[in-house]
Amino acid sequence: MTAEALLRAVFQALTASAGGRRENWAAGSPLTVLTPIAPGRLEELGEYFGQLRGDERSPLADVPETHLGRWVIIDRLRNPDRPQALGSPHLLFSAIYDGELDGYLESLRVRMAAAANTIWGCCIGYPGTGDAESFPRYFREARLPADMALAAYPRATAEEVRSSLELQKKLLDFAMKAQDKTSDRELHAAYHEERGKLFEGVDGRRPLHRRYSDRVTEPGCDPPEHKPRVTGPTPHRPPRLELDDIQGNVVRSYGLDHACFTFVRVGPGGAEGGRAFLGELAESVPDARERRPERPLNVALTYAGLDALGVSPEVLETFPPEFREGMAARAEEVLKDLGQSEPARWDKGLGDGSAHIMVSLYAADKPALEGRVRELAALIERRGLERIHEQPAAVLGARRDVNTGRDLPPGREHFGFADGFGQPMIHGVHDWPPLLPDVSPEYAGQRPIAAGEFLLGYEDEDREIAGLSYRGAREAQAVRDIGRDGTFMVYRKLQQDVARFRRVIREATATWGLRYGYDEEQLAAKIVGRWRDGTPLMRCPDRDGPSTEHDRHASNDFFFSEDPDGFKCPLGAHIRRAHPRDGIAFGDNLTRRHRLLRRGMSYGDELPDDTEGDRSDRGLIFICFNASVARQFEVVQGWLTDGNAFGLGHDPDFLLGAADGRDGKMKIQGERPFFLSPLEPLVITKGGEYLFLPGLEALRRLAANEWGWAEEGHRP
Amino acid sequence: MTDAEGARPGAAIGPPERARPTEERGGWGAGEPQENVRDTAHALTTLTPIRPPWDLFLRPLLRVCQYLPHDEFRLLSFIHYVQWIVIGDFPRRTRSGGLLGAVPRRLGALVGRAPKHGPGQRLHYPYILFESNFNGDFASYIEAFSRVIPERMKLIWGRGVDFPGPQPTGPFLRYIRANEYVAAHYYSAYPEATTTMVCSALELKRRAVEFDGRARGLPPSQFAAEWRRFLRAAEHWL
Repeated sequence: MTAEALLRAVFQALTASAGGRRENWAAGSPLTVLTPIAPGRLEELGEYFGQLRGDERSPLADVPETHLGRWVIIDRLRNPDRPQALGSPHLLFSAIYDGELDGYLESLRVRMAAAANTIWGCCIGYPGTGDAESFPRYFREARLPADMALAAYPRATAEEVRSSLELQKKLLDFAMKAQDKTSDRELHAAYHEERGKLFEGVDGRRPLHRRYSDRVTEPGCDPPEHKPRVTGPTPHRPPRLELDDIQGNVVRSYGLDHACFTFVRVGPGGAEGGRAFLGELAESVPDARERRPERPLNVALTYAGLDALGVSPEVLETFPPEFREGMAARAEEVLKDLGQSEPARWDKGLGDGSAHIMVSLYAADKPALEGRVRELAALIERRGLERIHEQPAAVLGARRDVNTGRDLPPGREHFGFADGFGQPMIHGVHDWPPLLPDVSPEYAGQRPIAAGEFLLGYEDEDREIAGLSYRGAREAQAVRDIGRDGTFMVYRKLQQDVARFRRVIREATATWGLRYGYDEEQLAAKIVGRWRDGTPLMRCPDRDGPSTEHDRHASNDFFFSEDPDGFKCPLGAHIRRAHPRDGIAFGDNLTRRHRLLRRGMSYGDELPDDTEGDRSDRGLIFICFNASVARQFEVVQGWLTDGNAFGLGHDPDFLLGAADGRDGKMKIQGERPFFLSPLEPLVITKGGEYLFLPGLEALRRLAANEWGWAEEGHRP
Repeated sequence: MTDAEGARPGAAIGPPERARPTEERGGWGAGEPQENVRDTAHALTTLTPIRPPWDLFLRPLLRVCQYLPHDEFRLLSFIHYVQWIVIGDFPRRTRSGGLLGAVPRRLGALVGRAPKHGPGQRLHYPYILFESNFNGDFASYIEAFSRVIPERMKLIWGRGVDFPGPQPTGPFLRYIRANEYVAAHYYSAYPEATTTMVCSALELKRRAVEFDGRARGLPPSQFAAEWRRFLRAAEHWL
């Protein structure tokens, strides 16, 4: 900040008091009014606002100069230092309006008369809307001038905002139609046919941004500036991880090709059987010290499972809300599992509250896995439990791709893209990336993530200890113990429609791709952000560049801030959404707390290259570990289902499709940009659960009922 | 007046809130009271006490800051509108804007007028009224404040009672939650549009109008070239 800027600011603040009153901005001025509520009228006011809640139409909708508005009831003051009771409750009204203050108040008086009389009629001294003089005086007298106010678009009126949004929608529709026009003449004719409709209601054709003052803000949608790539504090020293207490597979993958996930239910009154089952398993779960354990498995519990095993209500309370609600409850609002993906259509046993314990078995080959699955089934039966869902999965084997003639490595997903090498590194487990000849020095600065982002009981990226919320809990010690060395696990069964994916790519290539210079492979790579062998577009935007296949470091040695316009890797590409790196505003400072340890695997047989229309069930078992499902998994899912963070409006990931009927296009940025039109989902959620994967000691104590919860009569 | 232990202020008149296990938690995953939300638009209203005499500096400081460049704010592209108001009396005596209006109440009895309506009440501590209109998740919003502009947060709330500091994010979130008032009613004229969408629509409109002016009367081949140039220039906002 320069001295000049400071001086100018002081000067402007001084002159503002003399002449340039903030109320006289022509667009987006704040009006804040604080009025005392008359004795005994608070209830009435509360009832009125309660009714408004059910009513979709807000009284402010009748006042077209309003951008935003709110009423807040200030019913008490919170001051732990010097508590003070409020003489009377107050009503705070705050609006952002266009035009002169007098004009706006007149508009309120005339257009919103009934509501105004009901609302402020409960306040002391309100004169009613009858008199054109006393009404504005009342508001002017109760008005609080803003001490500081910042706006993102201070020069646009509400009407301009609305009409511009409308124009944007129509223009986009036209642009998508226009890219189908094969000749200039057709395009020309189409534009002139639609021109009238496009600009209908768009005001005056004058430049939008009028200048009033130098006060803040141009549009806030500029591409992010190129910021330093590695920011924030570096943890002092590696944490000492209790590897002998952490379940295997968490900090390092078991690295095996076959798995089976079994969901078990503890019947009513079966808590004892459930604990005995858990006890037997707990003894055989490998800890994180063993790199290649003989009988690898994991045990995790749902919230219903913890409850069924007799964990006390007070301890259950300390688990985070998203875990307690469960994945199905958050499917519609948070995860956007809509339409074909809605929980009502999920596989039996997933998301319906019946799953309690989840056992994951891993093996190197299929026969070995089948043997262990049989053993587990016998154990489940012996303990009187119910097997409610079973899901085998496997790493897809190596094969040759007929499109490219290249050998595809094992570890792909069904669409044919290499997977499983994009993991974050964990501080205290992985070394800092090595300085190798083929990775950039910046990559070497990409440091491992704090262990507390993935394991409870350790410092996270904010230097807070990750864990359950035990403060104030009576059983604080138990809460700490049950969380220690545990992690939250997200399990999702994602069905992939491979035939449709191939058809969509082929058709899009034929319709637009070739005209814009993309063949099938290039278009598929643009949608995902990587070539099929895993080479990132950021490193190799053209197909003929060097492959980074088999090199985990080189495959992750790239940054999105170098490509703010998405010319190399589209802004909406799958990998750019799932892990934006430094590609959103403020770089990795805002993405580092939203990382996932993925441990997924494919299920179902691979669809041969030349097969059409095979709809048999295949896809991905998505599994990830994180310390906070809401902060990590759900935020990443939000990036996939809504493009706003990337300046893409509500566009979802192209692979997820437009499940909720909103926008679903994908923009392929470039010298000649074009759009892929919305389509049916290519990936459908078939079920899932939020689970807790406890540390080994916690698992043993839970099984042995050492906390004695069940005896204390918590359970009926 | 309700002063129920643990209830959030303002919530007294609202329906039962969604499961919120404890004030101790950071707020991730807890969900928002629906009164604060209109589609993508969210309201946040907090009233936080600050220890005097910090208000002596704070009000002029805010009024000067108003005119400083706010590049970070521009990049915090999910805020439609925010404002800060320092309140010393309830209701606050009316004064003008600008620096002169920021004269503190102890000196400014001459400048300010007593409230016309209601009893009027001198507060023990001055309060900062903070109002924000933003889009997206509440916790993400506070996280951005905490991680991107911690110095400014310290400057404004540094003398706030119980203010834990902007970092780490967890306690800061809890502080905001504890001092938040749930809106009785919230309205947005374009609730489906995020800040970024509004800004891009405005920018696109400017360019589209320019394009339309340039393209008028052009023969088809030149028109097509002009259209492609427009698409290339405006693709970021489309």
